[in-house]
Amino acid sequence: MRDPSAAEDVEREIQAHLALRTEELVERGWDPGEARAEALRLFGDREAVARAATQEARRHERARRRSKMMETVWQDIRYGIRSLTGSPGFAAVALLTLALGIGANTAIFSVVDGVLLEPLPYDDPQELLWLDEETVRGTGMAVAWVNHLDWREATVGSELKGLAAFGVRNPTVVGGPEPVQIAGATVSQDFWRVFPVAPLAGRTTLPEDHLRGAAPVLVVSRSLARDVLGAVQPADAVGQTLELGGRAFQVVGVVADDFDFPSGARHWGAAELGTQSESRTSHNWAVVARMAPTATRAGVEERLDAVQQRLIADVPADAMDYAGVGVNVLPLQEEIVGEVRTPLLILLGAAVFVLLVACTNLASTLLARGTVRAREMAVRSALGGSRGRLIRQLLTESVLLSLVGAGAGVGLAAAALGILRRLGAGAVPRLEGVALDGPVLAFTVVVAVGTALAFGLLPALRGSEGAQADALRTDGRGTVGRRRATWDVLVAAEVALALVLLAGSGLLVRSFVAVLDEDPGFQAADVTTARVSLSSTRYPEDADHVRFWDAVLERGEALPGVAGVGILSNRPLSNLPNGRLALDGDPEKYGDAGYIVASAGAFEALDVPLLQGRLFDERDGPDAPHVVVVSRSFADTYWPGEDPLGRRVTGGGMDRFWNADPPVWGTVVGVVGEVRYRDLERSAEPTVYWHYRQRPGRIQFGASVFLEAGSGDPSSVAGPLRTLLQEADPEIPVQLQPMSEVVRASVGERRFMLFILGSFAALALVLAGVGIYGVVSYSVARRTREMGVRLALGADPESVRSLVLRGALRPGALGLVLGVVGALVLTRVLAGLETGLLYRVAPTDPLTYGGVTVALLLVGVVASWVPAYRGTRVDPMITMRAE
Amino acid sequence: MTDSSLDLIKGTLDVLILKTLSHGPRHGYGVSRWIRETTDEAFQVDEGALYPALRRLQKRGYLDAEWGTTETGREAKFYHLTAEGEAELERGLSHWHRYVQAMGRVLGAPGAT
Repeated sequence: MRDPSAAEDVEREIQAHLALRTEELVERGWDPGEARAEALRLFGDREAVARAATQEARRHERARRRSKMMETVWQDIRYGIRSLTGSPGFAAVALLTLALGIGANTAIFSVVDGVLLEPLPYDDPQELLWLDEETVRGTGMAVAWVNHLDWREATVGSELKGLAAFGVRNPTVVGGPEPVQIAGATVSQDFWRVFPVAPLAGRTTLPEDHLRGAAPVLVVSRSLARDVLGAVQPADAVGQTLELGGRAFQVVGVVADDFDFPSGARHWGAAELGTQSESRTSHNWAVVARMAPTATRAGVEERLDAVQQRLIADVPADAMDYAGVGVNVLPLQEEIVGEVRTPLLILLGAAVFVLLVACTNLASTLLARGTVRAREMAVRSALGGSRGRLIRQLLTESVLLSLVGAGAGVGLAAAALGILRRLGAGAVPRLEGVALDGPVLAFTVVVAVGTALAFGLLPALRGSEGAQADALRTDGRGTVGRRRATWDVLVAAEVALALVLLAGSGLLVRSFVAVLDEDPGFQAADVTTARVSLSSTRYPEDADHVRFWDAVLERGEALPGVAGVGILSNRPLSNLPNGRLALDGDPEKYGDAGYIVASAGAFEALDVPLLQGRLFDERDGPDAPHVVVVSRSFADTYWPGEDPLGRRVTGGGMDRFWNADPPVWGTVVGVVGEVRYRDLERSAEPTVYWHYRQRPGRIQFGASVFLEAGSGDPSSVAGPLRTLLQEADPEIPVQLQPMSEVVRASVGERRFMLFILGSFAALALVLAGVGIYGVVSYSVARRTREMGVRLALGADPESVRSLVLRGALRPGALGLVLGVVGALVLTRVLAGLETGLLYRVAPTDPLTYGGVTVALLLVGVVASWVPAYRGTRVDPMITMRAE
Repeated sequence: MTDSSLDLIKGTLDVLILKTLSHGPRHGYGVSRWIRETTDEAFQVDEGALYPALRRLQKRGYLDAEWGTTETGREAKFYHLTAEGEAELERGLSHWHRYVQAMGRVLGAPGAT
């Protein structure tokens, strides 16, 4: 820091010194000329003295300034606190506004940080990869077991440290106090090399545990060890035996609950012990890998692509539709959170919009306050406060306000996070790791200070400017014109921002309604369902499953209050296995369709309409000729314009009746309505239903049972359904769910987005209303006298009010126009293909735009009419005398 | 400088300045002159040490300064003690007295010549 004044000061002092010395010498009788020379000589090296003294002086100056600054900052803060507590109404509204704006940003940023930004909680997470096979259509699909073996052989040891296939299972676990269904995974031998987890006790699996014929062993989570095996210490669980899906496993290791891969898994067994399909087009496995530190993702992908080309060389041409023609390699984190990235970033953007509305709101309020405080500023200015000093004072107040608001905002964010976690469970991955931690709080502080500058700078500049002029003499009307223009801009901005948010959430509401409006193809309201997987040891054969369900369904129909009972191999709104079918007894003629195993009662319980022919009945026993029921779209796709009844089909993936030589054909006996098996947003696919008594293959992996309540209340049959299943087999864990809950859960992500964006839009609407109210109130207060004069001169109060309204609505209308333009641009993001957030509604939907424009207009009119009305109610004589 | 002048012992200049100013405000040259005359020219204060010392003392809060005019009408920067400066002088003096006593005892001890 160069400081000329310090050097000058020293030089002046040296001159004084020399002069005084000369004076003294002359007093003693020296000749004046010689005295001066002597004084100089005695002084010595002037330069050195000046330098040393200046240096000390500068150091002194810096220290003084620092302490003075600290003092003035402290003074500003104390003054700020006084000034805010002096107007508690303003402070409360401002703090609430800030808390909401900053809180919204803190909450959403914490989700973005915890879900998208924070690396996965595994060692060297950047090395983890997710591998997919690529279909001819370019989409991803699961991996065939044999392909994963060849990939592993080609790359592990070079590009990869390990490559593992895994499948998620939800078996019945027996060995604890009662049988329970617990999610887990069956994993291939490299799994623990991909995730080198240090177990709490025991060990993870070794290569020899993964050899065909090895004794079945299991790694379990800490929580499973405690809840099922009653292990107080993790080591207590090691060596114990658990039965999973009817098969006994010895627990060899316990891992911490933090290890959560695949998500929700609490036990891990060896996949190699089961029988795996040899087919290269049997896509049933998910694959993860860990790269060598030197490898790159692109390098791995290139290598595996080449391997895959070789592997599919012998796939027959007609099966190429089901072959993987390439390999997709993604970072594991991308696979886990990729789908929610855009939605979360959209929400963050929306939160920023809310904050901007809050900022414009505060800026206009502060401007109004600035006018009120013009006198105070003028006095301070007259007493020697520089403009910079006044700006600093005003900005200190803003930062103070903002930081206190941010503190309250963090509290709101903590509360909001609880709601978000509940709401997003199942829809948003990694939510359990989201927290208001260091990085989030740092973000909050930065946002708070940035916010303070954003809303405080303009009013501070204007406020300090007003102080220069004639504010001491009058009420500062000189600067009102410019302030008015600034206000107009702020009101317009506020309205525009709010409109964008409203339009965005309006489109989501319309999409949500459109999705819920879709006909799932069944009646959910009166149905309770349960998923049942039978133990493969106690039910080893198809016939065992048939016997079990025969008994359950027969007894179920006899239950009082039950209107219908039946089973489906797949629950609607979950998933639809599909595959190739041969048609019309012609092995060369193929179709592709969903494949469901059903009982007749399922169509009745779910009210899926029978459109033609008949459902399955007692004629269709295991030994009778096979029959099928097809969906309307199946019939229309493969036999357009023809009668589907009596036509023949077979197939549907790995079906032994199709693989038999000759294949066993099924005759179409009925046509039913469409059912959406995947989700509400995807239209129903052509589907073939086989009878569970004839082709029970699929229900070996589990079946969903549906019970329709005659009373219409699904909870009335929940108890009977539980008893029914438990009496049939006490080892079945029963988890009941009303079908309406299934429908609800299927739109979870949509509800999450809608809730947050909707809250933000509502917030913006309220803030905009408050902002307009504030500005108009102020302008009315300032114009009371003018209004009084008008009224006194006989003006109609209504016309005076409309004068005020017009003044407020002009910038509001501009804001509406800007907002519509902005929304048209920004809602394209929502309509982006990869997010699919908009459903059956155009991003330009006129109804939405019309609706939100009217809503904002109404809020604007009410917010400006109320203060206008109040202004014209007062007796003109009083308002005129007021000044 | 005369032959009888003494080199100031390191650390004594500060306390000399404070003591000088305890009699009232003085400018830099006045401080220098007062020390010189009071000690019968035994101590010659080097200006190269004086002015940095004045600013150092000011930085520490022991002195304050302002520009004024001398009796002869010349402009000069006048220094005066602050309350903190007075306290510092007290500390300096007591330290110095103990120092002199100790020196005297050692130097006055028998057989030490």
